[in-house]
Amino acid sequence: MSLEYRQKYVFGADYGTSYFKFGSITCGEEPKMIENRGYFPNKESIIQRAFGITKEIIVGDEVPLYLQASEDLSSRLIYPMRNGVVEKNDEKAWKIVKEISRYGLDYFKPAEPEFKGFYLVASLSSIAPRYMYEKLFQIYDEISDESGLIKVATIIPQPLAVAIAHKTTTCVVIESGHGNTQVCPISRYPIRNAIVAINRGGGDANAITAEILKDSGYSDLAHEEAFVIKAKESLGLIPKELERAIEAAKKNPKKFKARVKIPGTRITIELEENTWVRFLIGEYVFDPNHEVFQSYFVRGMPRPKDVRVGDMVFRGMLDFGGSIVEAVERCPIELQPHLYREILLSGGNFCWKVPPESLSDFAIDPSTKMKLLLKKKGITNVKVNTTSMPQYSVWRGCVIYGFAVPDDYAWNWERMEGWLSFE
Amino acid sequence: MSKRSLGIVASGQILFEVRSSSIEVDSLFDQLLNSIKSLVKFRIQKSDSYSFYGGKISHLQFFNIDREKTCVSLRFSRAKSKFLDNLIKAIINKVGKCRMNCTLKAKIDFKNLKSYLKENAKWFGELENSFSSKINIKSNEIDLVAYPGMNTVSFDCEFRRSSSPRRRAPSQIVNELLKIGGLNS
Repeated sequence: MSLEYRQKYVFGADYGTSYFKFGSITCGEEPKMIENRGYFPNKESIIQRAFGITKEIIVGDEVPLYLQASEDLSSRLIYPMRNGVVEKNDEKAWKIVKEISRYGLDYFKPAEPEFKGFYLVASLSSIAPRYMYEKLFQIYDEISDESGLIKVATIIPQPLAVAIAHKTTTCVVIESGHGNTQVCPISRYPIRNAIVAINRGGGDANAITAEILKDSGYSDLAHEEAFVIKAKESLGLIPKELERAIEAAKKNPKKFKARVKIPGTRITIELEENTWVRFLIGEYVFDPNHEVFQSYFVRGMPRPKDVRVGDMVFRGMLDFGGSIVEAVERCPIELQPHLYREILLSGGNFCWKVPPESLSDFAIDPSTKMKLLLKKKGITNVKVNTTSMPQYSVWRGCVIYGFAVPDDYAWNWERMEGWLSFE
Repeated sequence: MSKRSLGIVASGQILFEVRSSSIEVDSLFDQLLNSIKSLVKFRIQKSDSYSFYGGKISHLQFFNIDREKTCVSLRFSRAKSKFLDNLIKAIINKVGKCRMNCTLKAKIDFKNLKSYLKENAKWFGELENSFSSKINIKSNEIDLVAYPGMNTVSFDCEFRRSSSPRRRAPSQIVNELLKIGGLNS
């Protein structure tokens, strides 16, 4: 197939734990994003029967419209992935994965008669076991049989997609999403034995923000995720040095003041005297070990725990600097300096507003914070970059990869790369 | 160009062919880069990415088609209309012709655009979340696809050095699409 065909019909699909990002190469710089979940409606309900609604699974933007009794949610509203992994024998979860895949491909299905199927590039967590690749290819085979939407497909690890988007073959990618963080050294391909996984992501930043809002008198609203996310994005600051930042903010709270108006409502958040708490949000993402967080854990905020997923342990409390050092030190010594010289931060958890100039002595960006954390571990001579639009860099990498890989590069189960054809 | 259209940015990809025997990877790109720099003010290079005032180019890739031809691909992003014109100009001055796929993100009136295309396009097709057409805009034959739910319009078009100046300017297509979509009156 010609490159002109691929110029129109490459399709990227990033299967994040919490969000599925997808889109064809023609949708620009930003993919479409839906929650990685599915709802199994009660087919016996009179409404379903009266209106002839026959879908077994609801995914995408329609899910809220189908939600029924809240006591049913735990059995009907299913999130198929946990820390990037779908359990091998979880039939419902795999049905959802198939449905969101079909939903995504259908959304971008073109009307042109010359369309003969997408060049699909999917990405999974770097720790995804081989059976996930097998199951996903099986799903694609089924979708292709049913609808002809897939011409060929390949699957790549998410950190590799980020590295591809940055055209760098030797680096460390820290991919931090909603649920977890993967630290992955890459030397032509992810060094699987060196991957460090952290059970901490944007969702944990939301948790500390919710506690801060409760303490500030916004308890009712602290239960609404959309509100909490808005507050986190507007209030959160990454401290250069936490104790110094807190001290400065306590001495002069007005200097660190922020006012957040929730659009479409009369609600405005103001932290008054407690503007120092803004720094807790940023610090918690990078390093939750400071004693200031103990009071939150004692009061019931979930402490990020170590969890085992397959043969990988996701560490809860490991700071991001320590995780990079640990991952790099599992690699050959000769490679290590090269890895430190190209560290890429990717994922929605690294999307932070640029702090105002007036606070630059105390508030910094994610790259600078990472350098400081590494410096504390004795690692200097590092280069850290945050990818542009970090929440989409995996998807972008998928699209670039899809265009670059030659047609005749067939899938190989030993190398775990290449195109699998569904023609 | 109206003030409103200046706020629209584009992203996409350009493909062109060169003779394999004449190609030297580094020098071709250096020549192109210098041509673009003579037309647009250069800002900064970061790894594989070159930022100009008005747009960015990146991800230069080479694909061997056969012994005689090599296809070159280049991505652009955050591009203003004028930058696109200069980019195309630099490329077709060097290699004669190229094919661009360009995506615009804009809150245009998709109902207007759809009605216009239905009446004027050579071909029109529609699905639940998108509509596509083949249409002539400002003497350029373009393949267009729109995703109203994502406020996105993408078009595919060939540009040639041998064409008239108006037909070598992507901005003409962009402006016309925005005009039809109610953003550029």
